[in-house]
Amino acid sequence: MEKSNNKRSVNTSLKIAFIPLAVGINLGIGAIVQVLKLPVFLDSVGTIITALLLGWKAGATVGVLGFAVSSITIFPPAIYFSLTQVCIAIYVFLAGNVGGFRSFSRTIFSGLGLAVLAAIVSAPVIYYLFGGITGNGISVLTLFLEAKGLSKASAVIISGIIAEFLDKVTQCLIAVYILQRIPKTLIQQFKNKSLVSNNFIRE
Amino acid sequence: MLKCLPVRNFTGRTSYLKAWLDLDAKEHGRYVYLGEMPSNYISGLAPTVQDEVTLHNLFPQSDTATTILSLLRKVGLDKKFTSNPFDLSGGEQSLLIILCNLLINSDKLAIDATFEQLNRKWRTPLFDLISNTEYDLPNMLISDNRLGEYNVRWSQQEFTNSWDGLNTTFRDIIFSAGNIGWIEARALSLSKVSFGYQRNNLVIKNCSYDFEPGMIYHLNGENGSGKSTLSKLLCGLYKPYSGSFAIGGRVVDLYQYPGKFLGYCFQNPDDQLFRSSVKKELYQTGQGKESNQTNIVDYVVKLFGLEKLMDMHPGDLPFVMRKRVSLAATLCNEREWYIFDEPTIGQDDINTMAICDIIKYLAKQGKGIILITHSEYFINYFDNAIQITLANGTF
Amino acid sequence: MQIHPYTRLAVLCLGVTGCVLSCNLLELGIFELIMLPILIGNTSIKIVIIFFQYAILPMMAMFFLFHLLTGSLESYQYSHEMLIVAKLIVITTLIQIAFIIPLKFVHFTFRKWGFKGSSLMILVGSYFVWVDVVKRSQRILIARFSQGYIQNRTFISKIRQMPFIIIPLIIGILRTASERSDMWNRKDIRSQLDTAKFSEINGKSLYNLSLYTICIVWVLYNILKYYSV
Repeated sequence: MEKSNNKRSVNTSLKIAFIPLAVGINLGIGAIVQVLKLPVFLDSVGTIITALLLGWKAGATVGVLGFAVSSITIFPPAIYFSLTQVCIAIYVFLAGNVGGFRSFSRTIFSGLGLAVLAAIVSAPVIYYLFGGITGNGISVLTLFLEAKGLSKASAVIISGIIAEFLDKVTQCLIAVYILQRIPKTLIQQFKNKSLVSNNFIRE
Repeated sequence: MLKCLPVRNFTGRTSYLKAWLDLDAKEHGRYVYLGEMPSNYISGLAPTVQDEVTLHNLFPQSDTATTILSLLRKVGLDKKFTSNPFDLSGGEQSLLIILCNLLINSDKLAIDATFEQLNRKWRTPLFDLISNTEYDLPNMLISDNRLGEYNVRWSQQEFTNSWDGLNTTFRDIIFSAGNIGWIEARALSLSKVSFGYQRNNLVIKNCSYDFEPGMIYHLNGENGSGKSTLSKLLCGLYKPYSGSFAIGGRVVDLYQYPGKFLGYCFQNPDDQLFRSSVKKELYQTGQGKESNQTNIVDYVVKLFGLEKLMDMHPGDLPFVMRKRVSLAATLCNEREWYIFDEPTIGQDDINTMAICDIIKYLAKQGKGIILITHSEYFINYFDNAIQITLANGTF
Repeated sequence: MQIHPYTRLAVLCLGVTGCVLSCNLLELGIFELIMLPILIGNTSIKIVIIFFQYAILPMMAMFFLFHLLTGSLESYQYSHEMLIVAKLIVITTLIQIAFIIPLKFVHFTFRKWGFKGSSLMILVGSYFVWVDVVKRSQRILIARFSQGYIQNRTFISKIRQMPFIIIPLIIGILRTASERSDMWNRKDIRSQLDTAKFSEINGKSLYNLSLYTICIVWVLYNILKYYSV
């Protein structure tokens, strides 16, 4: 007699087993970037990959947990931007479903959209909780814009979008680069529509 | 008596083991498969070894549980109860997962090559436990390439499956090529080398030795004796606190030239397969350029039977084949000295002999070889291997 | 002196509510002086140093620089920004007290917070497994060094290794996830995780009761003050 719910429970377990490991990817890359003091964050690569492999809920879980663990280990303010991670996961899932990562130019375009979304969602947190200044390189740009006469809110949003362009486009390109080079036998078990839409696997 | 499956590579034994587990499986039964890489079978849900043991219900009382716990203590794993399970060595992880899964209410347990990384002194108490019918242990089926080395009585499970021919017996190729331009190694010396990951806790203490080219050395030592640290020092990954290295009699700062004089083939092949095809993996060199040593690469491809696999992604290959690709890649990235860490994991008898012959051939070509292995069968095959034992950080 | 899961929740909810309602720098400072030793006792001073180094000091420096350059060092703006910084420090301290859990009490804490089954597995796994991922990436980097692919240890060389590290890392992770999930299914580890007995904490200790009291007093004081103004 076969075990019941065999197929469904395999997929659920795979999700549960993969999520903590993807949290590790977020943390690992984020930590390297912090140590090397690069002008990007690269702290959502795991979120993007998980959203493409397992859907937006799993992606959001990875993002939020990654930021939670990051804030108790390497970067305390990370947890305040958890909502941004949820939005990143939803966006990537939706963009992936329509083939937004099928080619290099599409990935860049999707990355730009992601940058705008991330900046807009993060802006209220930066404005109200941090008073517009988070202490990193983007804040220098915010201050500059504010000194030039823009309102604080506009300065936060515009500087956020400019800074996120490089970061989010790079992260989308990294995620796509990875998914294109992984053996198909390993990602076929994820059975997600995005993987076929973006030619990571063939149906 | 243990039921075992001593079959050749690529005869479908992993699939057979999993099918055996699922045959007549009950709804809430427990049917566990343990494979070659023990870290994949650690639960990932326990921060310490003690919690891992708790999770597998070893602490509740039963005679078998008490015996298993006392075996954990006997082999010294209880001293690591507060360590992270991922911090343990391969052998310790193998032992931990086997012991944790021995107590699963008399359902089934399939063990696929997990014993190969165990230290020799742990095998006797473990096999005594497994063979003892008084204990309430699961129904086991073991597939292992080194059954002859374990002092245990076993019976063969019925298994008929054809061999798909991927195992070329390439002993006739090995010595036929002659000299194809291999660089001869120079002598490698250590002089009073000391190093530790923390200043006040030295792992290698005042270590001196002269390695001669053309010889095969078996680097022996218990867990934590510093074998892997010494290997990393030789590859130039760390700078020793004191002492020096010499190549061909000239003092060289290996830290300035990481990976230039020694090639290291790691225990886990997945740590060193970087490219998307076997061909790219074999042709890449340290300087990011393609290798112009085409005759060496062609020879190595024939040697390991990789002709039909050149366009495949290494990650798509089974573990045994990935191990061979990593060995091949190490040889293609030619160095004077090689360190092979458990090169025969997962390889059946005939393929193990072939790897032994390749190593003998390399030594004959003037290379220097350092082997790290727990397999007595493998080491006994080399008549002139020099045993060097690392203890308390020195030889 | 371990903090019980319910105490952690109380510190988080009551403490943060009090901070949001508070507008007094001195009171926030006093509350932080009480909470900071508790945080340091719960973990170590390292996380506090990291927070100040990467967030607070740069923020304060930039506020100051902005006003210096624009010539607007009026006291009103200054104290408004100091209030933001103070609230950020206190709220972050409270979050860290709530979520920095000694590893042997992680199972107990999440179970008490109501998590079980899949959600418990995900949370508990996230607290532990990332260490393994970081170790794997270090092993892969060592493999790159030992194969001679990194000729020097400069910044640029290390950046160039990232694509070669991340692909084998993710391949390894996918393989582990697949094998581990198969093992979990076969062993029904979900129910074992829900029932196994891990280390527990006594919530009725003086330490925990004192923390409850401090937080209740803090939030009531701030509520009264807020509504009386």
